[in-house]
Amino acid sequence: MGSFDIILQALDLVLTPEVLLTALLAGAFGLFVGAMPGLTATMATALLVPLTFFMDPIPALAAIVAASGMAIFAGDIPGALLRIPGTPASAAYVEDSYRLTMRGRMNEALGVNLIVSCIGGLIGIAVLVIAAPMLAEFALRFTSYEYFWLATMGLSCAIFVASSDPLKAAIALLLGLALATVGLDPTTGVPRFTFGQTNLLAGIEFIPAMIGLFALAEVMRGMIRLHGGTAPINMPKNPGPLFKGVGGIIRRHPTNVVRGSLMGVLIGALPGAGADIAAWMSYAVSKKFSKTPEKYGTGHVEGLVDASAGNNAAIGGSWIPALVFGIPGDSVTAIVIGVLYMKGMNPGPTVFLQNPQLIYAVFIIFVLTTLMMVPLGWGAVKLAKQALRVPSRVLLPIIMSLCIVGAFAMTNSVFGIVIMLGMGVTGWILEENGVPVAPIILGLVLGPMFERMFMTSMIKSNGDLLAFFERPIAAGLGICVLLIWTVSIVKALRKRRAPVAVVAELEAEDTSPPA
Amino acid sequence: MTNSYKTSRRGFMKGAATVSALALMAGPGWAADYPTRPVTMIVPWGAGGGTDATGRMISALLERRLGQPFNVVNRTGGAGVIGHSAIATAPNDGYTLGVVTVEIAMMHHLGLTELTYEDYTPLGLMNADSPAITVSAKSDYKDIESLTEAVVNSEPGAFKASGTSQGGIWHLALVGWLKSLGLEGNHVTWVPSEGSAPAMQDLIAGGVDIVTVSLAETKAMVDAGRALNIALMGSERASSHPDVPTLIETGAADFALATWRGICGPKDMPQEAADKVAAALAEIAVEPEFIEFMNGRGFNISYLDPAAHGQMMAEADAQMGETMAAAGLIQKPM
Amino acid sequence: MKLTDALLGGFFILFGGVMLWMVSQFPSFQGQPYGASFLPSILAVGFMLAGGLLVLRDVRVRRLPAPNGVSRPVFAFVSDLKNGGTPALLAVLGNILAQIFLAPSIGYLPVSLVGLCVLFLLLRLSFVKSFILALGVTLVCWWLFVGLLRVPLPRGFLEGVL
Repeated sequence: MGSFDIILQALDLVLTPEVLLTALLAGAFGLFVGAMPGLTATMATALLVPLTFFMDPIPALAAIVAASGMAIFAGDIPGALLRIPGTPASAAYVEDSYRLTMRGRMNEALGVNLIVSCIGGLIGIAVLVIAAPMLAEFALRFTSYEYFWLATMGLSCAIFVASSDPLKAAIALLLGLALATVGLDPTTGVPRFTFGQTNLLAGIEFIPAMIGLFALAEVMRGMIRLHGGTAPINMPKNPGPLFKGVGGIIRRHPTNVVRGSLMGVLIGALPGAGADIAAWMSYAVSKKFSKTPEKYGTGHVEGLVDASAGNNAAIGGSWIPALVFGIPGDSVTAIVIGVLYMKGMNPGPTVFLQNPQLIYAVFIIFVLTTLMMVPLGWGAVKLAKQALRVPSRVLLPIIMSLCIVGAFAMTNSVFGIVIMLGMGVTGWILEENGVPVAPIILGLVLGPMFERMFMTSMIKSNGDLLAFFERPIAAGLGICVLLIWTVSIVKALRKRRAPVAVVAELEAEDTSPPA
Repeated sequence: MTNSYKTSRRGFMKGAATVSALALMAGPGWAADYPTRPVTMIVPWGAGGGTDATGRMISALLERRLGQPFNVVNRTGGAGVIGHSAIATAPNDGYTLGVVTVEIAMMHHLGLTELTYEDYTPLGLMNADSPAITVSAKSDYKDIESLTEAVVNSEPGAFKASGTSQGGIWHLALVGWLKSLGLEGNHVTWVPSEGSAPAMQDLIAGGVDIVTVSLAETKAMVDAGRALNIALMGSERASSHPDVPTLIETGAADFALATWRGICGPKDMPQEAADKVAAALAEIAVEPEFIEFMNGRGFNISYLDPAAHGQMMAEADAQMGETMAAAGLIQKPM
Repeated sequence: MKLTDALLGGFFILFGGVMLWMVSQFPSFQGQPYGASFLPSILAVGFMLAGGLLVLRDVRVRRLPAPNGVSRPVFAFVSDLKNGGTPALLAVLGNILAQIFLAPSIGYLPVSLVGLCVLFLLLRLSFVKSFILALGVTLVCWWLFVGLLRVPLPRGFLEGVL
């Protein structure tokens, strides 16, 4: 009986013009930041912090929730329209959504994306409301051994997600991992590959790297296309409303929605693994279990469903350890925890007992902002579509300018632009030679976690490798990883065609770089 | 609204002309009007962390007092080297300030940079926190005496501790404590982590035995009944945790250490600007809003005026150098 | 820039080799079996292995008759560039380099204005259009990033005025 009162109280707190207006404005702000290549949900949240200092707790949290959720979805828009993922979470399926757009099925790509993101977000919240304490307990069992296996699993995704040429995908992954080792090694305190440069001590930040690999490389290709007299991007007309046919796709893939969402929540609930990893892993799982895995990466909507449900569900998930134990699930919740402390809502199990109406108010805000995503997202896509009417020779220099300031913004120095330039030229050359660039991002994101978890585990076990199988969850995860690898290798060996034939086939079908 | 906007737009050209004329006249007297334009506040650590929050709060309050925007800029990475160099190498006109943290007394000993506390103009120390010795609630040791005894009698490497990266401030806290017990610095194995949150997670999950981070960083887990603060490595008890004894008073060891955050400018800042900021900081340190914010986060306010701030940094530099040498952490960088 | 797989593979073998040499200079880690050089050395070997496989595969492909009669050049600097894409491409790179080397002293605004003007002109827009667009893009970027997002883009000689 008390809980009904609490919900009423919470509704009372949330349904005020002030809170709703704040959420709306923050949501619009999040959309803008997320849609800019290179600006992230973290940045959207960090920029709101000084404002939240002077707000009441409920509007402050509403602003953060609205901005971060919207930013994750908005990252898909430039991905679908320009093949430039706005956030690392969108990089997993950028190929699919872009190719869908190129075939005149943008509505499908972004419409599905938007609706599924919303559903995924709602499932994430449902889990947060129902199972937060339980899941938080589970997350607390994770030590470096478990994280090591998780990172290994994530890295294996690159191979499954891998395009037509696994060998080149492997090279790309190696490149990402190698770039991640640049800088001051946190485990041993030794600078690696820094060539005496102070700036390199901080390592290769992956956002400027992503801007370079995707956006700048795209601008370079565009310039060549434009000037070379070859046909400029011929954007097909997009008939009908945004949500046409979306219902049918979702009805055809209900398992994908649920599976993606649940994976997203689980991965999001593990501190340190956020929406980025969730998107990659759900895409890989989707491909693994699909009846038509060969279509992935060619403009297939199925993987898109899993991954976009996954990355939005992960947002709800990442709040679980944050609210229950004050452990940040990602950099956004790290900021949230700071705000909670400041507002006297110290996270921990007690917050559910002392201030239940506040916690329920947070849940209600979550639901509201997730629903708000649909109309706001619809508007944003409509606006963004106009960008495609702009001729390439005007649009490309504008994108270049945004790349420059976006890269600068991530490091607050010209060094961000240096990283972007280096990675842009590298990415362009790699794609010219048929090496996919998306695995580089995965390597950059997971590399540090993989290495750090291995090193700390070895320090704890004094170098005993068997320690990776001594704890129950670790052993379970480890056996899973080993099984996945064994099965894949056996399958590959059995199905093995002459590698030469594969390459000949590849060259025949893919002589030109992607448009 | 509309009206004033129009006026201001009309006035804009005139205003711009006046401002540029002023800028051209910029003579020795101009700093008396400091600040006449936005000031940049460099934070050497990432958005969302304690230093970031403190820096943003102080900037917001400085902004209110001095009437110009104080923009927080995060320059992160390289264990603080990047941000600290950015503060030291900025133009010393008073329009770039920064939050200088305890790492300035450590990085140059490790050979990561040439910078020392001497490359800055101290403007005021705002905060100092001592690390606590924290164990899991499931630990066999519920007080500092039994833990000390167990650690002293253990095989080297039997106990594991965590809290920050290799050679970080909390690692030094562990080493200093062990040294004061007459043990080797690596008697308890240090498990490097990326900050205090993963270390606390590992403590609760049973991966390590001891965490030596500040009280604020353990607060959520302690409040949740999952972890225990059994001693503070400070010279006196923290006002926020009056029931946590210090190492010195329990007689378990004679050791105290603190991490600190102060506001500094680059070396040789204009005196007028330095005085103005220092005066504002002194007022902020006693302002109820700031006190409430710091207490809420569990940070200990510890204000020192510029002269004392500079002296403290010099002393800390010497102490860190000694501790690090004793711990064998100072090795030749590659 | 399109290389054959053999050349690409050769590059990665070399890359792995250099990495391995650099890694061998890393200090070891206080009696632990695994140190700073652990992952990089695995990666270096991985590069050499993958590069080797790429070379082998290419050599075997080359023995086959070319599909569709397409000849495979050993090296090609993008055929499209012959048609005059080079200046625009160089202008993009020039813009970025100017933002890296000139903007810190001159300031973001003039560098962006001039750079974009040149780029638009190279893309065959009229002079007036180029200037207006360059000015517009520059000011909007400034307003969004400096005004709204408080990013400290370099002000250059306008320091003190803005």
